Amino acid sequence: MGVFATIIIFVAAYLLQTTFAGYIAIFGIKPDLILAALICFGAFHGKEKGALMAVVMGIVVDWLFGKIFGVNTLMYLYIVVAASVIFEYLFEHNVLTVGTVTFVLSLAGGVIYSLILVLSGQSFGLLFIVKIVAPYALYTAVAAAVMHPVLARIYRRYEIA
Amino acid sequence: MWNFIKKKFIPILIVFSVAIFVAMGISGATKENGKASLPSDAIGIVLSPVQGAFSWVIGNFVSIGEYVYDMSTSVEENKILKNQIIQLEKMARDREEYKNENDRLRSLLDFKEKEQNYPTIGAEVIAKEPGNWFQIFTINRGTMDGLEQGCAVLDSQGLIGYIFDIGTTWAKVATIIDMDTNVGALLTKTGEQVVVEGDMELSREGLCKMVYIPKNANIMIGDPVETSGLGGVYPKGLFIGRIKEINTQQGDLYKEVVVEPAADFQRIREVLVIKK
Repeated sequence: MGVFATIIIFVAAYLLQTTFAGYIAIFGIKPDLILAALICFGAFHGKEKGALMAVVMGIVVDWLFGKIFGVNTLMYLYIVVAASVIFEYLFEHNVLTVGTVTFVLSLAGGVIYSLILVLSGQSFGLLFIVKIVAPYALYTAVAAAVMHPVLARIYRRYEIA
Repeated sequence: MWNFIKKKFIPILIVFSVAIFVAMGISGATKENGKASLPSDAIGIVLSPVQGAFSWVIGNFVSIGEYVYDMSTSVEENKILKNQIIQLEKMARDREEYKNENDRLRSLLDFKEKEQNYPTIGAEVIAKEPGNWFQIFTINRGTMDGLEQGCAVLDSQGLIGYIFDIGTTWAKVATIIDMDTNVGALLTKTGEQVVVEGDMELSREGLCKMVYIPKNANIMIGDPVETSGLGGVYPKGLFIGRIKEINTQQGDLYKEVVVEPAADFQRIREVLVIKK
């Protein structure tokens, strides 16, 4: 039942990200609901299971949408592992810490993603970080903070956390 | 097995990261735009009807919200629109006159006009790129419907993009505001050849840019831009949009021109695909 609930959660996150997220974009910036769900999952289940789900979802996103295969997989993997380690050894996970950690790690992930795009031939100014990456990280952090209590209930309901 | 993974987590992580880097390199080196691989096609075939259903539900939900909002602004808008109709009717009459004159002059010069009639097929947008980096979306048509890689995609307003990856029942469309897309275009007024390309920052606002415009080019805000037909992807004469901004920096050889596409990329739901 727990595995089934997890599958439903991530299928829903994927479908919402690819259909609904565009409608809630603010100044053209969408939150990354998949990443938010993954960070919450990692917080509840630890780095090993978090890493596994991050790889699965990253491969799905890269396979179906990625122009450079593997970028999303790596980004999700390292962000989720970092978040899981932080929640395991440093801070207890709650709405505030999940939001904060998501913001910091999404910002770092976004900067690295931008560097990868620059290395692959794209060019954009440093203001790009301020105009796009930072709002994206903030919006994803809000999404993670909103998801955390909802997922906590689901995971406790199915005794998988 | 789970205990093994927990014990050897860091080595497994390193090995996996190396594998992904290798995959990235292979993917980049052997990228073959066009027909999707079998696993990719299979996942797309399974996912596309689910995405389509989800997209339909969410689209209708959003439409209800937009309808309620529109009702509250409709009275004032009605007055404005009535005035616009009067002006547009006058413009239509003037345009009819110009067209008649144009026809007469063309026949005088013995100029053959080619009527552009492209076979098209309608499609629905079922998914949009999940991230904020690229401006691509998926439609519910594929090779089964006679489409192929490189087919131009448009809507009732103007050009949207082209198919860059295709499966049996789905296709991925790169929009003209995507940073990897270039469109051979021309300025309708002057006939000057230009290139319209996507830009990461401008794409947030649904805009794109025009490049290699000489500093002394005779262009104005509002000038229409259409496809030139060069490059073999987009047929000639498809409306792209209008010039929105023109900036000239001191010492630069070129103007920086922002183009506002006619298509509303935020609200695309149905598109037309031109078959090759």
